[in-house]
Amino acid sequence: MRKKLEINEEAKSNLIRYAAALLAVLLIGAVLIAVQGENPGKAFSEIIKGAFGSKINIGNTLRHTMPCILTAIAAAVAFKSGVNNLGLEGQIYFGALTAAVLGYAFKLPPGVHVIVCLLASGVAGMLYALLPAMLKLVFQVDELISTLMFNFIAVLLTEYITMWWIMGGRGSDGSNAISTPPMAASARLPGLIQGSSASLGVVLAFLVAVLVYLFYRYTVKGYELKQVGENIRFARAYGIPVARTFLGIFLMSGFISGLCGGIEMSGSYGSFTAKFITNMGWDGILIAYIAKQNPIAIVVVSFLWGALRAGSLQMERMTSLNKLTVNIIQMLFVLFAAIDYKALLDHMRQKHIRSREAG
Amino acid sequence: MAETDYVLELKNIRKTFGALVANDDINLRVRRGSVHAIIGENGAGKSTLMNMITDIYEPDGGEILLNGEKVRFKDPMDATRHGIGMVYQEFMVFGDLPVLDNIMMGFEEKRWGIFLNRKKARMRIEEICRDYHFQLPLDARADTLPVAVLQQVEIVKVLYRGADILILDEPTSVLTPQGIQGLFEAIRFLKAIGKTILIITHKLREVFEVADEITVLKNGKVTGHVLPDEVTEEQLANLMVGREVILQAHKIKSEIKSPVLELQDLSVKENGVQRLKNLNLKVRSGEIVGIAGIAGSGQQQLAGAVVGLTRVEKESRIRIGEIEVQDKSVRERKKMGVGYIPQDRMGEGVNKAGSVWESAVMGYQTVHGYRRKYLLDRKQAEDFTNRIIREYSVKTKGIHEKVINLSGGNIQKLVVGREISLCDKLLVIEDPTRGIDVGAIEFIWEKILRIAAAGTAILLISHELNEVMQLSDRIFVMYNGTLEYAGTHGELKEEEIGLLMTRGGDADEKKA
Amino acid sequence: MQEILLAVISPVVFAGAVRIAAPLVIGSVGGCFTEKSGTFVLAYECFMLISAFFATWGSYVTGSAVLGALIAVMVSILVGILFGILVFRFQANGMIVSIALIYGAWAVTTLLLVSIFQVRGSFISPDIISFQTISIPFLNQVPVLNDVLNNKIGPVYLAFLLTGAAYVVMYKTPFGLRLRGVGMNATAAQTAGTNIRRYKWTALIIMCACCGLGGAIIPLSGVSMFTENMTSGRGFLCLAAVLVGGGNPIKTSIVAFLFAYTDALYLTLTSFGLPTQLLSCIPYVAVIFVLIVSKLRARRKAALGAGRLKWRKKVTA
Repeated sequence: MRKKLEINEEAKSNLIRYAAALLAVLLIGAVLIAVQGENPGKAFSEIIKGAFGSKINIGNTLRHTMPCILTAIAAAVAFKSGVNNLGLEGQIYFGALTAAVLGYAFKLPPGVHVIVCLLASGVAGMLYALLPAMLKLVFQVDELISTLMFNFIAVLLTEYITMWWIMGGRGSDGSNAISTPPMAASARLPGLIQGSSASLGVVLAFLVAVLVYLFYRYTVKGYELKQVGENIRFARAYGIPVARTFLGIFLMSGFISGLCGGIEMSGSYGSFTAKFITNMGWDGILIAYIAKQNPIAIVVVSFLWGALRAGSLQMERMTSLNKLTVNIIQMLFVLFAAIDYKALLDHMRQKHIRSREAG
Repeated sequence: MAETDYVLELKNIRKTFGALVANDDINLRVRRGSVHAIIGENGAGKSTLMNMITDIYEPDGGEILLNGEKVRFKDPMDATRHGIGMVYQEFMVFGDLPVLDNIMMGFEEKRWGIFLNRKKARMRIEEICRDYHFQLPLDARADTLPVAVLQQVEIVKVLYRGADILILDEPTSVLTPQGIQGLFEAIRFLKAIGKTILIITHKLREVFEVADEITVLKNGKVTGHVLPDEVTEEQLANLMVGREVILQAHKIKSEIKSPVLELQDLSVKENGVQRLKNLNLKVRSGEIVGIAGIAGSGQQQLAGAVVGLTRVEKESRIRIGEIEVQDKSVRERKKMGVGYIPQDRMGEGVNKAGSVWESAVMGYQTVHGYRRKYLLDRKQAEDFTNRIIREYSVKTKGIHEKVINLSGGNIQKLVVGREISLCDKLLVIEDPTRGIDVGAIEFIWEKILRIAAAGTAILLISHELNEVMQLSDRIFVMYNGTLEYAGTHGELKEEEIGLLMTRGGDADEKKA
Repeated sequence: MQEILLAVISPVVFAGAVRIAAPLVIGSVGGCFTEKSGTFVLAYECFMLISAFFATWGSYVTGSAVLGALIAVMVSILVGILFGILVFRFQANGMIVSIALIYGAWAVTTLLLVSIFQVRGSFISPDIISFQTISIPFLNQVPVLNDVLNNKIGPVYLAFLLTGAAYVVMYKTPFGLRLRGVGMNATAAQTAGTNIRRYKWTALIIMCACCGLGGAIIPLSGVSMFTENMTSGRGFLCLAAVLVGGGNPIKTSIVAFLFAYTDALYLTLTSFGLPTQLLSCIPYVAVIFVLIVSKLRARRKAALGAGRLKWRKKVTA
């Protein structure tokens, strides 16, 4: 009984948060759109049409949901245990490059080939996460800053590998031309909805989210990881091997990020192009935060994110608005959702009491 | 206007926090140039009252008169400007800064209006030190100094700010018996020069030694205003809690058998500093071995070394039963039946962000094992938690309540309950009763004595000398990383042990 | 090999470093204040990128680099106020607000680039007026220093001045003492009469102003253009410099200069035919290297410091 009550209370405060953020964002978004000389109503309806208007549109939404789920889960796994892995983007790049290379360089039976590519991409992300993890464990270098640096290094290094090792130095510095050969059909993930870019990847992402949810809720290891994140001294004092856990978390987070890169290759891109994404890692971190690291909430918020992404393309086609408007709206949503409304409310209440006393 | 006899008067002060009445109709008059003690248990409302004088809180009703004039301070600074200086229980120290900067912070001497004038500040501080007989190392970083010196820094700080009334909040809780004598000397000196001093404390004996007048608080009300030579300690205790306050543990005779814990040449080095030097110690089954000593003498490292949190030097041997464990992990030792009640219960004893059951089953998952090894058996966890809540009368709304909502005493009961339920061989206990109410102290003491009688070996480390003396079968004093034997239960007097704690020669601890 | 080594220490590289260092040094010197006041800000990149854009715009519209930079600083402070309201007033998590702002800065500047200048990618115009170079007469006589230091734009010299000024403010004034007090122990600072909120706000505004100026220098140092994501990680380098320097303006500036130097190697080393991607990595690798070294040094220092303490205790005993 009591348990239900408490969950409800927490859910309620979260609901207030989302509702307040959404309302604020709709208002500011409308102003933002109106300032650019467009009708906000039309813009919003185009976004919704673009996201859910047809089977293909829904497919596009799902396609953009996939990386959001995986990066957010990767971030959540790390944050839950107090690991500030901001290096998701770098891990994605290495995962993607690995999958792309294995995809074109080898010939394997259809089913096996995809699985090998995806697993390898996860391992690649994991290995790339091993660097900052070891720096932390051996030299106490704060992973917050080192992972940021490794992001930049990953983008440049994958470009270097593609251009000099794979293309033999032929590519010019214009990065669109720097690309691996296309992956074999056997290394590609099957599509999910005809005519859209959605692949089986989104189902995989969803499965990963569910697995992570079950893991934290029902296993001893999950319980221990939660304790490490919430009070590391407590965990250490009662025998949870903290260093090993830290490493494990970092690698798990890196694996999921790398997998995300692999699915992007196998599911959508088909070949690795230098600088193929920007800010995907940030997306994941922001979603994980808004969803308070809850895997189920992550899936929901990711779907919203994907819908906005898919809808923004439609909006750009049908109105004079730039699709970046939607990015700004997303950022505003995060800012508003980051506000601690409960503390704010308490603060205001106290102020009210004080002013009444004074008056 | 005629000079009033009273420098500070509180009239009908009232303060509530929600439903809780922290201060109810308090009247208090402090004579100029006197030492006035305010005594009461934890939670009697002493700190709330003082915080209203220095205006961290605003009273709901009543008024404060300073030198006969009604005052209402805008902020703590305003109180300071009116000559009220507070020495907090938790020192307000900037660890990275030298003592000089610590003292002048907020009241800097300036050169050309914008730059710091350290020279002038140093001269002023040196003058204060001379006038009031303090000796402070002005250039030493604050975090390198022992607590007794830090307390002097705090007192000089409020004098530097021009305080006429000094409020000392539980000033003796961090000091050794010798340190306390030094403090009292300083207080007498300040009084002689004409300062007024308010001491907040819950220790009766000290009150008799230093106070001119005593005001007793209980449950937010003034229950007595007395002069020290008019009352006995027992009468004062009665005013304070309504019953005998001097806690007496009732030791149970237990059969002391074979050694459970054996330390041999235990040495610990941290960052190149030798924290423990070749300790040798045996703790036998059914025995409580108490370790007294001033904070930072190596107690933490000792506890850490035994439970496996602190790395020991190569030659060190730690045996539990017959097995050498110095290279075993915390978890492995836990499985052998080693329990640990840490000093910092909020930071280390529980996960305050999590729910009660999460903190209650910590260690359980590996020590006793769930029925299923990899999956969390929620039913089993809940049963175990409920058992602790029941047997240790932990007051909580339920096993899903957040730990942070529990009171300190209840959290400590939860930790003690968990460790006693899980570990029956050896229990390492650090400061088990710090900052909790009398009822909980008695309860926890009794539980500790009872499990010792049942055959558990107990290593009790406490900064509360009385606690060590009451509970232990054998007492050791830790000084600068070494152990000195201080007799069996009741063999040595408090003062004798106190002398061992400082080795009589530590200049830092002695008032010059 | 020898050629490369010679090139690495040539005055040309140092001259480049001095030029490149200006935005990094100014931005990170500002960051020292937030660092010391105990506010965690990650959003250097946001402040710098936004102000780079508005400096471009301001200079283009007014025809003056100084006015452009002023506008940039104002905008940067405005964004900083937004950060402050969210984090100080509404208790939002500083890291998330920072990341959202970084993310938003990229979107906003790119969007504004399209809607104001109707271009994608980059805006190039001779009407974007850069800072004037300043020639210091007496340096003309000194052979190497003249190449390295002379004839740079004003802000380069300002960077040196700001570093010194920040050091004096931080360690020689009551303001600096209290600011550090706030970061070290907020409650203690409060009992010493310090208005914590005001000090945190002041530090944040200083930081935003500095990052704004630093960001403004990037497009106004002779390139006369703004490109999408122009700061390309310089903000993160500032953050790293502040963390390594521990908020001490002089140490931080030296670290920032070191990063600038590694960045300057790029131009020299490309002429040897080394892959550009690897050369671009150097500053980031340098950050990690410097972090490791600084941690190792801190560890040794802690050991020494603790030893010293013990020695003192013995003497007094």
